[in-house]
Amino acid sequence: MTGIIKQAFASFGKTGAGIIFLLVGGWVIFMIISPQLIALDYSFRPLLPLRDIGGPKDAYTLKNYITLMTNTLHRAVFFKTIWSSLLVTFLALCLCYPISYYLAKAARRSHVSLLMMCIIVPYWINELLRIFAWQLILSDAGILNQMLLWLQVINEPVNFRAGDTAVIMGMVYAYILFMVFPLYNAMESLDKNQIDGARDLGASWLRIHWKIVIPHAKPGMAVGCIMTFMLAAGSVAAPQLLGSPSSFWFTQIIYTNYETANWNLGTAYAEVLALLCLVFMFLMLKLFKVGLKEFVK
Amino acid sequence: MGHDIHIDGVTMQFGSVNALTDIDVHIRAGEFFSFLGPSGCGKTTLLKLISGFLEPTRGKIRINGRNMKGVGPNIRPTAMIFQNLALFPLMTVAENIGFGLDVRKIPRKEKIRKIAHLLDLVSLPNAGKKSVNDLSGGQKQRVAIARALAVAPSVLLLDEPLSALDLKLRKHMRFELRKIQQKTGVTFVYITHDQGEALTMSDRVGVISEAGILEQVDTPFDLYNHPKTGFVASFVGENNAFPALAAAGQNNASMAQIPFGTFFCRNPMNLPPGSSATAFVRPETITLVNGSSTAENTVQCRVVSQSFEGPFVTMVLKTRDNTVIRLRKNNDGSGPLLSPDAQITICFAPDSILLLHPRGKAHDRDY
Repeated sequence: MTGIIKQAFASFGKTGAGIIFLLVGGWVIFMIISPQLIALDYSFRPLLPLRDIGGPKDAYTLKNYITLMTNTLHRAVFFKTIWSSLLVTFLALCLCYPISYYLAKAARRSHVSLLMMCIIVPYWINELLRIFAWQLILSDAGILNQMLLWLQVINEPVNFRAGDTAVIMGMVYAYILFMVFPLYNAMESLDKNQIDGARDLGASWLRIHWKIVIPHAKPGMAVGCIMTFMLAAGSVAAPQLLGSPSSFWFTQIIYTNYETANWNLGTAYAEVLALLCLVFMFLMLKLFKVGLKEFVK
Repeated sequence: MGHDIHIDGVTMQFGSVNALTDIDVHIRAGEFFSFLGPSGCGKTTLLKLISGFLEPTRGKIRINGRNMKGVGPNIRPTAMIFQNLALFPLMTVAENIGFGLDVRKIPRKEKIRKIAHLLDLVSLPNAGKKSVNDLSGGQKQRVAIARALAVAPSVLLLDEPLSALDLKLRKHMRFELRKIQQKTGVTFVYITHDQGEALTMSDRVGVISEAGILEQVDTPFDLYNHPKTGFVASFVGENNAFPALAAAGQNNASMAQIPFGTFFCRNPMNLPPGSSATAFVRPETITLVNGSSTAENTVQCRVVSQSFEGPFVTMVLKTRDNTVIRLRKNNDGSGPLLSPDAQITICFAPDSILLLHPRGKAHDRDY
């Protein structure tokens, strides 16, 4: 740390370095630390009428956090959100692994850029609009139902939006890029001769992936899973637009609390969600045996 | 034990480009066979064809008599050592060597015994627990050999595996490779652009030209002393090459008309008198003649430059018509170097001039 400071002073001079540290420090204090502290403060205070704020009733309490445990609906939605986000992460991993492998190792150079474009171009459109598009695809009179009817796979439209199906499909699609890129990056650096070498020694494709490709791609898999899980758990748009009343998402509860001016409960729930993501991150790093340093890379 | 390989009329095209044309060769069982050629001549392609990573456009490859068409690299009785070795960096030495044994579901006890045996064979006992990344270049080399031999291949394919080592280690590894080959009896197919490697290690060498044509297959001795094409003559070892016309002397003796005179020569291709050819003379076969001489097969030259290389001296000479001749003379410790611009007479032994098709036309061989 002192090394960085010394280096900054050496390269930018006293005023230059001063300005840089002021800006960085200001950013960290006002944009990162203070909001978090304020939110934390909120979450430990009870919801009070305006006149009681700052009064004797305005004391720190665990009430908001306990509500999550006691309110059966909230608790159920919380665990369902974890489970569904895990499912989204897992499905995204399963879907993106072959795509990434194909892009990184199997496809011809000229095809790679074309395919990359195909993956990236949809992201030029706002996430909200992309999810609306899924609404059109999955609705009762939507493209998917019409196609299945035409192919005579089904006799009457399937209500994809009844349970979590639509939400999960929409999310998997929405976060493909965040899974593909880390995976692709990790696989790209794998020497093709390693794959050929394993094959030459008699290994089946399954063994090659299990013993050579996956161990090599682990850091990328960890990063992809962490990002996808966090995005899924924290998503509001997808459950709001694609969900049914039965597919309530934890973020929607937080959102409702803010709408109904119960910021204290909303903030407490938001803190729990943040903590969940943090725990998930460390679990993944542990699971994939990736150091925090590699992850930051 | 090793198996033999028949390469029958193999042609490999990438798009419209011929990487290899009509390769025909029989590699004998238990032989150390090298393919020698300049970079980009398709040597590696040939190795990939034998190992099964590529299928030939035309022709077929048989190992132990069995046609390999459609047989994947994981099933062929071959093992390959890659140019960059392709060791698995996340595994230990033992795990690397054991990879192929795991594939074959060898029981644990036997696996451990085999790994120890292989580590002994490549003189790396007790290195099993080490990480591959902690090994030196030469040690990695040995692990790669052990890993390939672990699957008991009947053919071992080596893609210039020594090119990354320094000169001294490379020379040592040549010796080791040869020893391992003789010990195991596995057929080695070695690819290299380094003629020193090919000549010192191999039982036989096949020379491939830039055009992807197999020019000659012979023992190192015959390849060096009796090259059959201009390409081989100029690629293997050093050679003076002079434009020449075939001629006939008295008693039908083979003669070569070279710009600076007419000389006795070898004409193994029986080029008819008057046909254009190239005359090749090895620098080390030219001798200096004391004093001036007008004897047969001699020519007067001027010394242009000399470089003293320890065991021998390389001299660049010019004839009266300004043809450059390179000569290599053993340093026997006698006498000082010649003074620059000195006039000397050199002599070509009658057998030392070799008349062949000019380079580039070598491919118009009559089959």
